[in-house]
Amino acid sequence: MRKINFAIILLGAATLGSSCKKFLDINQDPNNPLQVAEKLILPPVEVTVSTQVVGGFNGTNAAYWMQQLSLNQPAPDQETYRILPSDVDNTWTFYLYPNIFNNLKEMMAEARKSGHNEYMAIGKALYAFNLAITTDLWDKVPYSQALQTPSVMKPKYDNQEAVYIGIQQMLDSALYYANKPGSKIVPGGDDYIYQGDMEKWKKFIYLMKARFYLRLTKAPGHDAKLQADSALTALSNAFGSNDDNATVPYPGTAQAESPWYQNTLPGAGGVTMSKTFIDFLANNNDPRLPIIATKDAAGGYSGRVPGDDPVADPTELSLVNTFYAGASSPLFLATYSEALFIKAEATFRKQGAAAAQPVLAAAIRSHMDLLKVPSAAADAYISSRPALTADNALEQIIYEKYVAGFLSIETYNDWRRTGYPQLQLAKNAFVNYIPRRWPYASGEVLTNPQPEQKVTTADRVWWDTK
Amino acid sequence: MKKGLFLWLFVAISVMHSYAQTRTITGRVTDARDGSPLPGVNVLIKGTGKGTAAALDGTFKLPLPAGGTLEFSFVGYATQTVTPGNETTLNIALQSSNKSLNELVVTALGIKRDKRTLTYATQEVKGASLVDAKQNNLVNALSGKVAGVQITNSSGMPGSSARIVIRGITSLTGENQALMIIDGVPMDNTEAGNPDGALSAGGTVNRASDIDPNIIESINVLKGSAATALYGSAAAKGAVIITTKNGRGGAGNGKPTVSFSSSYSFENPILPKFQSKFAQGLSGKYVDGNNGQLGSGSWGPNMDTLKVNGVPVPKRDNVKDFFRTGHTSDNNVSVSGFTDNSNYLVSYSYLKTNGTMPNTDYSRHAVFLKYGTQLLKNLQLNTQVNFISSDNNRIPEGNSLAGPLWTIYSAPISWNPKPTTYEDGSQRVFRAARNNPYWLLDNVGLKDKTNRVLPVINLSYSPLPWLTITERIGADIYVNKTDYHENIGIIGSTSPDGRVYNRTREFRQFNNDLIIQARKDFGSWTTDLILGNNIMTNYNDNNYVQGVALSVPGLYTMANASNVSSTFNYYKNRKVGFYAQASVEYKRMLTLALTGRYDGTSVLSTDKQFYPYGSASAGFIFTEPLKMSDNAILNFGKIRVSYSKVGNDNVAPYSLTMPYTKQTIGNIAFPFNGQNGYQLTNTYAYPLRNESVNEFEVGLETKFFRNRASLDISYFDRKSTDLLTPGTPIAPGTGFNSASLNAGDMRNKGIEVVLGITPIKTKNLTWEIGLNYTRIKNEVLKLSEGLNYIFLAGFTNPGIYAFANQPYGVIMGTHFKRNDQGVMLLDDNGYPQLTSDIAPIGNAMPKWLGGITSTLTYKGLSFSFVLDHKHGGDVLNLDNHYLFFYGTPKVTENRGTNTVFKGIIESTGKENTLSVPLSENYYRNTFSSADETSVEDASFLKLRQVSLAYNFGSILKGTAFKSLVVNVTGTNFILHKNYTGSDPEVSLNGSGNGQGLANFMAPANHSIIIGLKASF
Repeated sequence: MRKINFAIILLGAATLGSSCKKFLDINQDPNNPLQVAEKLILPPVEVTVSTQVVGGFNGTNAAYWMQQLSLNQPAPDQETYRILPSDVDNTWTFYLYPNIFNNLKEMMAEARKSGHNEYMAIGKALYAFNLAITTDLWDKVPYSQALQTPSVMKPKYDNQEAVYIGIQQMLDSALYYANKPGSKIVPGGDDYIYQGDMEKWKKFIYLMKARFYLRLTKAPGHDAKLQADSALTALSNAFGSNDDNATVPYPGTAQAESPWYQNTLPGAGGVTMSKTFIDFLANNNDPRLPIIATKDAAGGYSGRVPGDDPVADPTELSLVNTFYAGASSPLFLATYSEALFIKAEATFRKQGAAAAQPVLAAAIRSHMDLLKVPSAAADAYISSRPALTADNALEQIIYEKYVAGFLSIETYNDWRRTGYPQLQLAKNAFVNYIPRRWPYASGEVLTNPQPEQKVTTADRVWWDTK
Repeated sequence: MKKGLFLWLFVAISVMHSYAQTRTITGRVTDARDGSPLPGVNVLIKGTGKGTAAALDGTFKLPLPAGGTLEFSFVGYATQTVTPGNETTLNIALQSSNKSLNELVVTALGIKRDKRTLTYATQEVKGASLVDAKQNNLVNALSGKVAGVQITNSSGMPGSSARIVIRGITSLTGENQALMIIDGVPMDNTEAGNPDGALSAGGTVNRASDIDPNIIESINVLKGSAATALYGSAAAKGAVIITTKNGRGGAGNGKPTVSFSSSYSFENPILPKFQSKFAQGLSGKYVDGNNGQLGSGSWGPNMDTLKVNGVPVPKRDNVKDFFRTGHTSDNNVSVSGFTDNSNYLVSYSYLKTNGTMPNTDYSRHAVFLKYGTQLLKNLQLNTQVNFISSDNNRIPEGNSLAGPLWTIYSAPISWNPKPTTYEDGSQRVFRAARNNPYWLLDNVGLKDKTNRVLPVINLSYSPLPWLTITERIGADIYVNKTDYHENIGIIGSTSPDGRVYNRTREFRQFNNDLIIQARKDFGSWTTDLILGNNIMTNYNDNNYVQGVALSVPGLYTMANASNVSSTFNYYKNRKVGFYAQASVEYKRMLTLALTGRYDGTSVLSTDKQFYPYGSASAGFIFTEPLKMSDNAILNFGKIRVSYSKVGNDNVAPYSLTMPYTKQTIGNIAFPFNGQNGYQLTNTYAYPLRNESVNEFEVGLETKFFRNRASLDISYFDRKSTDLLTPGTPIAPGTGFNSASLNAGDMRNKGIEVVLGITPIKTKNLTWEIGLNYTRIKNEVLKLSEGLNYIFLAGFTNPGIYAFANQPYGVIMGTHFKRNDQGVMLLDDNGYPQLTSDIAPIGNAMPKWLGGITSTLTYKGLSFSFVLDHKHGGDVLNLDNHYLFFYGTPKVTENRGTNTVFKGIIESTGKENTLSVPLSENYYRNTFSSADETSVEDASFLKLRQVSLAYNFGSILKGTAFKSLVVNVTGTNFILHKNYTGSDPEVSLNGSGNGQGLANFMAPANHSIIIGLKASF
């Protein structure tokens, strides 16, 4: 009896041992897919671009430094130029490289394999758009060695000139794919920006080419006129009306609210209009003021002096109005008016102030149209603007672009490139200058030490020469 | 059976027909405590010197002359003599001796061993002292009692979690807490945590809190990996072995013993101190929050002079008014009994705590049933089931605008928080962007409910006297539901229209052990061999449904939400282990032991699933060969030494692949605009192999003055290598910002001292003192190649980090400018300056821990206390970080007074002599902005427990009462702290890694408890 019992136990143990391998083969994740179609990768990328990058820390930072908005917090803070490597970490360490670039890379790998040219075009366009944001903020960045796990675990940096060459090539490549005949599977509602409309994507790509040509007006080895010429050529195929605007729509329902609605909620710490911006508009009797800003507690328009001591109740000042900061406001990635402002500047650089004058008027008007300013008021404003001269044209154009580009990250690029609008240093400034770049992100400094990281926020990116 | 009957008849007839003949007596010796067999008991025929020893299953057999007397003796047990009449079968239950020299302790796999033969450090805590500790959470009941163990309670919220770490931190980001074993079966002790994250919502309870201390006979803490190697991977962090009571504690002969205990407590919060002079406002100018003006600061005018329309504004103590006296009632009734063959225990407890914050409570029903019976002569069945239903109502803690402490601790003393709403239903607040604290109480809540069952079936078969086969099946099954709601009108949350979420966690863990144990004496050698197999499977289903934006106010149903999203995740992992242990003891003085285990796990790479490990150890009782056991000074001394290596699979399932996951991006939930979306994981998955803990341990156990004093000292050096670190940061330019890989080594060197003294021991008066001391030096030896530090918990700035070549738990944050010598560099006006980087500003790791327990008993009266000391270690008190800015902490009351900051003026390099005011501007813009000003020393000296009890035992003789004890206990009196918050024993991160942060956690309590215990 006992012997039999033993035998059963031993046999049981032996059977168990032999089937162990299979017994342990239960480590397949039932919860998440290892492969998904392009139409599932694109939506989160576009939302990351819109909510986290253009309308995220990057957007608020540009609005504070460019004194469109003000943060009712004690100095030193973001507004007063205290920007820590940890402040910019999410943008680099999460949003740009893994969530945008790497997801676009995976999406394009799938699209290339399946011959889905539309996704290739969108992928390249968005990649170039965000790569420019990255290098504009950080100058030298991983590009040629990026996204090569596991062979390159510490990507070296490319200089900005090489990155900009890459950006233009990538946009050309995007056009190549956009011009190829439609594939079996095409983007639709998963493309929040253009619903898969490739004609509009092509216009966007051309606009980006123009934007980035003009970016290099001061870049070493680049001639402003030639850059302007290239920009004008590209613009001829870019946006033709506000219908072409690249926007991400937000329904405004719960968990679908617009970024600037989120950025300006009371919980964000008291985000008000800046006195600098309010005063600019008020002094010019700009009819857009009541559309852009709310009335203050006294019934007028008032902004916060940048860097001033906090007021007890920030809601007594003018806040951002619902055109830009409503729960269902769209987020603008690029607008027709930007195209016209680029055109105005390029025209001025190439042909002079007089030629630029009507283009500037059209640019202002296109923004007023967008804001539904009555045409009489628009006319009155446009006619009240000084005539362009060789001396004032750039200032006038960039100033108007600064107003029309309210909450756009392009204001910071244009300010660095042209010095306009002229801004006073914020009160209680943490450093005695307006920073000209971001510090490298804390996560990058930790994981990928590179000699290029020894910079201060006073250092300039390659295209930002004195 | 027939054969047995025949034999019995034969024996019976033989006995009847013999005069003064020798007959054979058979029997079994068991432990009176729990009925388990006692192998090795000496069975002697009195006056002859002849006898035998009980076998592994407790049985014995020897010839006894008629009228002879048997003497049963065993170390640690009272000697029992029996003169058998006509019976030839004896069942002897030995009572443990109070004067125990040695004792049986429960070791790995529930195997009892004589402490004499142990070759590693363990420390036992009796169940009674756990009950006396009066803690809802079992983990907290161990505080201050065990050397080598660090326990940290996280907050004063009912149902707060507590962390238990044995012999230091051994894993960077994986589990560092001890394995919990209940009656041989592993038990889950995870903290489910808040779905919103500990940082911004607080924690939930750790599951060990489900265990009712009333049912515990003893807890044995296995510290080193030599002790736990048999348990395998899971116990590489030490093990807490819980042994429950059984019916043997009741009356014999099947008569039931009924025990009843009841206690009631009064708990009061330990509150931080606040300034009581200055009203709401800025720059001395009053902001009238009572009349609709808004302002976050309490930098207004002095209350003594403040008048509105000629009427003084009443000064309020909003903090004190917010809290209430908490109460806990704890009632337990149990019935137990035993016969020769079986024993039973039925226990029911109900615990209910009403927290010191309104609308918070914790309750627990616990039913425990245990039945043991001898099915056949050599087949013992023990079954038990523990059913627990716990219910926890809490409000958010931490860095959450939905938590009321933020606006209670920052409420101006001039502001009346009531009423909470205006006529239009909107909140009445004193400042923008924050909620009214009382509004939150009425409109925000979290309910955490758990139903849990822990069954164990244990079958022991002893086919031969020296052989026992044990089959043990145990399970841990629970459903944990967490329901949260925020009403319409909340400020600063996901949606101003509120939200609800329901999370359901279904946990099922099945554990099977088959253990073959053989024990045989060969002359002076006692050998013990164990072979076994373990299979453990764990299923964890996690469902989460969130509804955002409610339609009908106050209706907290999913159907009432306008945007519903959900995730359903299923996890499964399995481990298989084969193990063996061999130990030999020579002449009760020298023990050698070897253990080996071969584990397979589902969570590692397929070619690295199996890994072997083991330990070798020896113990030598040097007082034996020296024949010192009667020595008046040193009567016992043992040295032990061990070396062990334990493999571990400390990583979650599915860590080997790189899936796409559905994420919420910022505030945007998918599907968004009608489109679903998936994002590639940010974690690059390398193949994974097991991590290892190598430990060398040496110890000395001594007893002095005929056991009146004992001293145990252990030294250990444990090195953990190849640490499984799933969140290791990698260069984001790779497209991933972290990798799961084996990276990092850590070392813990430490010393543990346990001293026991009985200075007085007379018939009526006994005084016992216990002292424990722990000093552990932890060092992170290295991280992934080229990496200087990794983030553990908190905010990136500030946060808790692990730095290479430093102790675990570096606090990093913003700081003042200093030179290389650490001298503050001041600005031209003589004020400190902020830098534009973050740097280490503290470390949460304590220098040493110590505890003293003392019990003084005079007849029926006893007085006892537990003192607990933690020395060193920092905590970042983020309450202060915010409150310094608002101007409510006590220190800001000195505003306007002058000081000379120590340091040198940066521009001149000269020593500062400028006397400058501690201005509002300084507090708001400089002092509060540097995280270093919120780093505080977390040292404490606590009277964990002080108790006075009277046992009416002697008076009750002749009544139905067997015993009646009344007691008064006080708990958690902080005798010393340097901390400005409530209690430096606090953790924003709950029981998780990354200790050392505090942020609007419910304040700790001290309590007074009245209790009654009776049995009849």
